[in-house]
Amino acid sequence: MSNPLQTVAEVASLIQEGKSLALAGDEAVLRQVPRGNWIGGTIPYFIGAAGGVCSREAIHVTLLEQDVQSVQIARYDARSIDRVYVDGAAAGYSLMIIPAESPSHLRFALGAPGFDRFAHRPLVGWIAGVHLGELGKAAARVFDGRTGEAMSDGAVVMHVRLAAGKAAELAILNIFEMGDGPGIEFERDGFEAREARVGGNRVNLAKWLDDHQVDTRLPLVADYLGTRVNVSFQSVDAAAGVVRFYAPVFVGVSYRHARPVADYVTAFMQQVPADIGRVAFSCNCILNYLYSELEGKRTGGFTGPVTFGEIAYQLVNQTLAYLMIRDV
Amino acid sequence: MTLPQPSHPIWSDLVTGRRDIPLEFLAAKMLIVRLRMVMHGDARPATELRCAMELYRLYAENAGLPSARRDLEKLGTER
Repeated sequence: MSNPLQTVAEVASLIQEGKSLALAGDEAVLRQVPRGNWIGGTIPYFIGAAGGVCSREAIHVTLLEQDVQSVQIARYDARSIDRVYVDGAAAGYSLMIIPAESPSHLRFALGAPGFDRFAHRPLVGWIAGVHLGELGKAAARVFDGRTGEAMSDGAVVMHVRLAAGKAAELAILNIFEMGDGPGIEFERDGFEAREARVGGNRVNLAKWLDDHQVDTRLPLVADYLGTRVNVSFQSVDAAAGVVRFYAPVFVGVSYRHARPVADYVTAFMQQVPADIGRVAFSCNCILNYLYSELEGKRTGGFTGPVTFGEIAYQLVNQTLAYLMIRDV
Repeated sequence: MTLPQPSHPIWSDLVTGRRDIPLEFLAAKMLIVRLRMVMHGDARPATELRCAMELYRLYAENAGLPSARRDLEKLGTER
């Protein structure tokens, strides 16, 4: 499929042919998609073949066909989501979508690293969202295409078994690097923080960010043994002394505020590895789309939904997550 | 490429942070960070052994992946 952005009629035709699809689109357009072997999540922002685009009509289609032996759809709620790694196909990967701000999102974000068999099988995916003009008014949803059901809580997953001789490899592409500022450590896991240790001193983080005029469009960055993992700022309320994040911060992890990036696309293209192979799925963050003004800009050969959080084994932020199919 | 035995000290050393080796396999990096958090809260030998075995199993199950294979080439030379 040369253009991953399709119309409802084109998607319906693929479903009639019995294809397995992972879809992204505005809620109204996903509600028009006929029942079939698909999962979906709401978002009207995409990186298409021609670059970043906001569309209420287009559907981003990930066709699960090449190198695929079988696809099984599963649904989880906030209680059962801890089985997602256990249920993954032995020789394959799982693609998951969760609605933003839902109990399942919170449980996965905070708990995934502690779930049974965490990271033993590739889990890629994204957090569904809404048009930025509807924040706080509309709810993100995920769809189970078998029934056409739309849900504001729960996770929809495609457990994909690959053909013999193929394996899935997950990677992230993060242009942000740790800046030269002090290390920031937290006292408890969570999406919000009041106190933190900044350079070893216990401070109110919101006040410290405000006093130092920190640019909160840039994320906090942690070093996961050479891989940089971001946590993005959602809001800083200096009066109330509360900082909120789009992904949880964890105790025992040291973060630093990111160094500014002059040009996202240039920095991005410099980091794309040479031996990338076939990319079966990728998604990029709404904050990269917004702050780096990706509308109309291409990010190499990567296309996919623009998301309220990326899943690469666990929840990450302001990052491109992608899944490659390798010969083994 | 050889997968070090489950009893090899490299697995314990990685999950405790006694040894830091540049790794490529993203799953291993994320799991090690998680296991170090576990060890931070509970440093008993039984916990260390359980964490070391979990990391060993991750590599055993994914030894065919290019990034895991490159890591194992490095780990195989460690004492």
